[in-house]
Amino acid sequence: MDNPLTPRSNDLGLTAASKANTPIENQDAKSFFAQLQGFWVTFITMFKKVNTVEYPEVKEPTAERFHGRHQLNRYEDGLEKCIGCELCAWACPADAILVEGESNTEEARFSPGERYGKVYQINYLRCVFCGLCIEACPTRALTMTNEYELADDSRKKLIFEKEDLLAPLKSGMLQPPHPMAEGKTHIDYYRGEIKGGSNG
Amino acid sequence: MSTAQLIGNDPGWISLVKGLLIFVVCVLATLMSVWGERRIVARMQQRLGPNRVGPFGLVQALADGVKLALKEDLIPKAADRIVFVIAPIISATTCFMSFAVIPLSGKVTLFGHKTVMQLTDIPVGVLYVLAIASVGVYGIVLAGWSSGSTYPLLGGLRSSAQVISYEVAMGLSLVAVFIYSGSMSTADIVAAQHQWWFCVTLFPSFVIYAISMVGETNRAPFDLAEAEGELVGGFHTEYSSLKFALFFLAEYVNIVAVSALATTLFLGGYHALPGLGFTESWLGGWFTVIWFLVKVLFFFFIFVWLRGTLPRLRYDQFMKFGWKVLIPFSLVWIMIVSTLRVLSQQGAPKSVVMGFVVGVVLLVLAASTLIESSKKRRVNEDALGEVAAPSFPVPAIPGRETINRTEQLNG
Amino acid sequence: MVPEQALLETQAPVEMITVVIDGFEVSVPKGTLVIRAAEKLGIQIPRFCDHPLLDPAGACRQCLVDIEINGRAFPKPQASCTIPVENNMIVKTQLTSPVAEKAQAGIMEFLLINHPLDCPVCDKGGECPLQNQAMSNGRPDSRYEGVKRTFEKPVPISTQVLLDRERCVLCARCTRFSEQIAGDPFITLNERGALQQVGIYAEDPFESYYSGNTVQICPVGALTGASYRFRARPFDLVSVDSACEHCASGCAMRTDIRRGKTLRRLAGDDSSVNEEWNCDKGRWAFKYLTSRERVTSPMIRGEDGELHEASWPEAIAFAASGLKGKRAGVLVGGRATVEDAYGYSKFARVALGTNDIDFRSRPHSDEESSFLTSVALGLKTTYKDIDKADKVVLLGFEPEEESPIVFLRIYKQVRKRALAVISDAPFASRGSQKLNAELVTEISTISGLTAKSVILVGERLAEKSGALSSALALAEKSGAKLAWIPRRAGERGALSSGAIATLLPGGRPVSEPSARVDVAAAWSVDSLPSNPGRSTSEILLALSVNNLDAVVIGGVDPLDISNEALTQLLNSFVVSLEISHSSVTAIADVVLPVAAVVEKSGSFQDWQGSVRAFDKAIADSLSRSDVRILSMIADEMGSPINLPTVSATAREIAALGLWDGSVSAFEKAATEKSAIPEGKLNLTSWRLLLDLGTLQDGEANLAGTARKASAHISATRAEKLGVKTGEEISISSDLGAIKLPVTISDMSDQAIWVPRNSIGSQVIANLGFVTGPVTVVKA
Repeated sequence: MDNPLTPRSNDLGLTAASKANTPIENQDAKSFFAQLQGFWVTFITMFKKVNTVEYPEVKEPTAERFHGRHQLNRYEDGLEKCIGCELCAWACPADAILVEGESNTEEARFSPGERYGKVYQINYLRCVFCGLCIEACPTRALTMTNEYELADDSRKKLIFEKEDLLAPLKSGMLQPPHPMAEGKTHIDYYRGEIKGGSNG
Repeated sequence: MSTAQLIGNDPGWISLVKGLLIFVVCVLATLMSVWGERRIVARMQQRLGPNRVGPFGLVQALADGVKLALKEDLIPKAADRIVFVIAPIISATTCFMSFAVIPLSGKVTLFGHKTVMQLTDIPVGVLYVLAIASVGVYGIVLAGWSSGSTYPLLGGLRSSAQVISYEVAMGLSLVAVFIYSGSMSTADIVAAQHQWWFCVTLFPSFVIYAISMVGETNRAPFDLAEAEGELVGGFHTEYSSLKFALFFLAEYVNIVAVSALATTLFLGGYHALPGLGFTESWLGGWFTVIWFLVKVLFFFFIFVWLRGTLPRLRYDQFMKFGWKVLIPFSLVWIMIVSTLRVLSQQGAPKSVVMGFVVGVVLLVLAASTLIESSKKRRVNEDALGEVAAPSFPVPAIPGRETINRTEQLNG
Repeated sequence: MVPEQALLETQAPVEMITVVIDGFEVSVPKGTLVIRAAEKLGIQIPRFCDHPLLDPAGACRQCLVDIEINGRAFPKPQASCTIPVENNMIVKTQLTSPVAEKAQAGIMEFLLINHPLDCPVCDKGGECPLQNQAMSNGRPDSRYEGVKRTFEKPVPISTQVLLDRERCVLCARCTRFSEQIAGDPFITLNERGALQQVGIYAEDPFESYYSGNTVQICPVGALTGASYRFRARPFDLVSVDSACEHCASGCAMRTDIRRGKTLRRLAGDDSSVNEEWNCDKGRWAFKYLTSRERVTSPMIRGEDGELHEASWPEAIAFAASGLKGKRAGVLVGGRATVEDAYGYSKFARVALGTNDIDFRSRPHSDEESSFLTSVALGLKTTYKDIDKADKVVLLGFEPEEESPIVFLRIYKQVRKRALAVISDAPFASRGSQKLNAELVTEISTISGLTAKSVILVGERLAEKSGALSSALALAEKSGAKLAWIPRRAGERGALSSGAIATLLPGGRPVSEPSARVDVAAAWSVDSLPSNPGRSTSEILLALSVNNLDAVVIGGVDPLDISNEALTQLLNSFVVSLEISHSSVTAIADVVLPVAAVVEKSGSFQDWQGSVRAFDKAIADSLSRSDVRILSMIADEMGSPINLPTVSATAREIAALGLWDGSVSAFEKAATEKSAIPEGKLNLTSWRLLLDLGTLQDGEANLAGTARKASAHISATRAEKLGVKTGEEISISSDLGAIKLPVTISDMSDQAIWVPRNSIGSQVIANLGFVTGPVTVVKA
């Protein structure tokens, strides 16, 4: 509970650090039996509760804003939020994201507005899970889930394509491509005024 | 019949069976030691050890052994091939050989034959063990030299120097045991402990032996020569696959061997704890093996405990310790023991003995006080004088001052 | 401080004026704008509408600075892009004047009030002057809380250019460019105030061969190219300086590549050639590489008559066996780089032992051969001569269609000082109209030329016998500067590399023994063939009657030459070095894949003779250049040419140098008087810039901006035929017919003009000739 390294005062942790780092010359030589106390410490630790989390039988829950696998979000009627602007690729310090944009046409519309992300790949072998791409995304299309169990055995499998990253379709969402909601413009989508359709 | 005669009556095949049993026990002991060490050290560090391979991770050592066997066997180009291959064999065989004279049990019946679980009993049994241990050093030094590379050479030299230094201390500590038991045969020594174990009567010897057995086997805190951060792998850097496995095996069998020797010489061998002597006849005498194993396990636990607790000593620190502390203490102790022995053999009155003992104790106290005060004086002389505070701002020295900037800047 | 005297091209000393900008003194010629003078000091004043090649406008007001002349300061900050320097002028930019800084920040704020938050979806993001200057000279936050004005977007103003009116900052760069540089005033600023917007005539799309330049100079993402829309961001792209492979204007280009594919090409900056402009074909016609079926491995035609993939050693051996000891010819094609053409030239002489090599894959004549041999390489006319010309004569040359940058150069002078242009075209094309060209029918009637006049001769002059002779006579008589401008980028370089029957590399005539000895020594062979070689049509004829056994063909479309060319190849051993499968590979015996222009290094010579070298754009391409493959075949044939790489070839060309000896004399040809048979019209044609050319494949947006094919006849003829504008007529010859709508132009009643290779108007394939008598009836 009381982590000695947590600063409690405004002395920048110097008092705690100085206590920890006092050179040995300043201490009086401990008596022989005090030195044997170390053995007691290790012995008694044998009977303390182990710190090990036995994964995968035990999985500790992650923090709320844990940096896990990315997810491309959708609007409530199923259209993708991603506009293929490449800002996440631009922000990525590890060059892990590949984006290619494309125009929405009336026959094939994937996102509200003019532009959508046609190719969207995140290379999880490069990603350092820093979250800068999330900060960069102007539409909150890119967010991070709490999923961290991504280990795999080939390079190809760890390059996640758009279909691997898209958020699942919830009820009321229709799989794109489909036109925007009747009479609505992309501004309505951006303002969050679109509710789910009745298309199951 | 004395033990030696009993063993002498063994038909050849019994000896073979005993040899085989010893070999199997040693190997099993290694597997268990590896597992035990990893689990115990892990618990000391508040974590679990290996628990995935087999129930409770019991098969871990076997899996590691198989893994080592399947690894690529590399022999460096600059290595002397023959010696390179022979060195681990030397190391491994010598440590098995020291088990030949260890009495593992009292009188038992093996396939209808009355015998003891001791392969052979020579009158100079302990000397034989010491000799074998010395030959074992060859394994290390040859491994280091024949690798044809600098790290193994340095590591091998260091390891061998360390081993032989602590062998000297070990040997000297055993002299008191020989004086008290009157023989170098392991069976006789065990027999001589039927009343008082030598760990009680010869406590300083026991302590010296305990410390030097840790140094002899290159274990923590004396394991600088094989610590990965220091000299890569020490003498076994260039070894891989089965040859490395042999070194690995040799180390653990060595641990068991010196623990067995300690048990035999100081903890009464296969004798039960004082007061529980009736258990020695259980299971037709086989229960003594349990007692023996318990004691060996106790030593093994000490080995692991030392490893989990103490930081590594620097090479010069423990060489200094071995030569400048252990050996003088041993020599002094031997002189005391032999004086007492001579006194008791010549029937000196108790008062003389008492007086001698008191004198020794007083001398020791006086010596220690003198040493302490001289140390303190040296520390005071070495200490730096007071330095005037400089005129420019300096950071606070941790433990002495806190920052008080305004005070500093305003002078 | 004494003003420096500087000499410019006019050879007259220019008055220099010294001004102080931000405390630094700088001397610039009189008439320089303040913003240019600041740039000379390295001080960047933010601007949108200012462009060094366009007349100043002062539309955006971003470049405000504090100016003081003779101690009297202007009361308000001034637009530095409209004010020329004066003596005793002190200028304070945003670096030293808080007033200028505040003014610039204020203007930036104004511009951003109605500018939409489009950066994530805007193509200009990342390379946007508005973004950059907002960061460097703008306010960190906006005080605007109203609703931005919106327009419907994007609006396609042609199939290639999209207009987003919300983003426009009304800098008028596009309108000024279209009007001043291209002469196509199809785009203007309409309305006023906040609703001011760029607009086009609803009936007239933005039809200009130079519309791509507006996309490039637009400082925001208001004008974007449809082909590049949403394709990539600047940080994805690797930019490489390159040369355009289309026409002989010799534009500098910048090729942007992402992951091994060309995504876009921009005009590069070369003030002596294309300034900062290029044409739409050069900008957007690069998709031919990916849209056509690429030859990926060498192929051999087997016993079964089908092409099968083979390994390189196999294919080279097969090609060598088919060429060794045989009588062979070489057809280079007009798009080889200088080094590749040199390789073909050396291969023909050293490995094949023949002079039968020609780079002309188009109608040609012996008169043209003589002209190229004797005259063309000695012509020293340059773009600068057009800048200073007092008259420009266009003979067999339609600049807007055949060499657009030459057109821009002429138009600049026409607009600036009403330069007189004379053309021998049968009617006034759009380009001729823009140039206010005077049309003549006979070259010999042209007069009033001086030594400063420029005569630009196109490759089509070869189609009329005696025309070249007349042109040359005119030039000699008047002392005017003559220039030969082919249509394709590789022709001039091929000429100087000797890829023609009568010339060796460096302009050395084959007929000169000393020249042959010279080159033989340089090439380390005993001697070079001295038999006169054949031209393209002669080679093809010889192949068809088995006077030649084999032919090595580069990038040639037989339908560019004649409509029998392909059949003439059928009975010979054909080695085809091609990028993609074509009609030639379909009948070839060996097909060897070569590198496209982006995959190899090399150089092109423009019509002036200036060389533009370029490096490999796609760095990890494994394709081989033509010269490399020819070298491999030559090695296999036992007569090595030792040109394993492009750089080795370039070194050899440089070492060989130019010929300074005598050249053979030009053989004049008589002007033939072609009489038009009764009842027929005289058909003429030329190729439009955007037509069915192979290199324009795969770019539908570009094809959408091509001018519609129509047949031009005179009003009288239209009446006689009983057709009105837009109605179809059928034009037929002995071979076939084409149907085209009618456009009425002021031209001879006996003449009819059609595009040579456009949709519905493929003249060689359907009619069998490019110029000649045709029957025309209403369709």
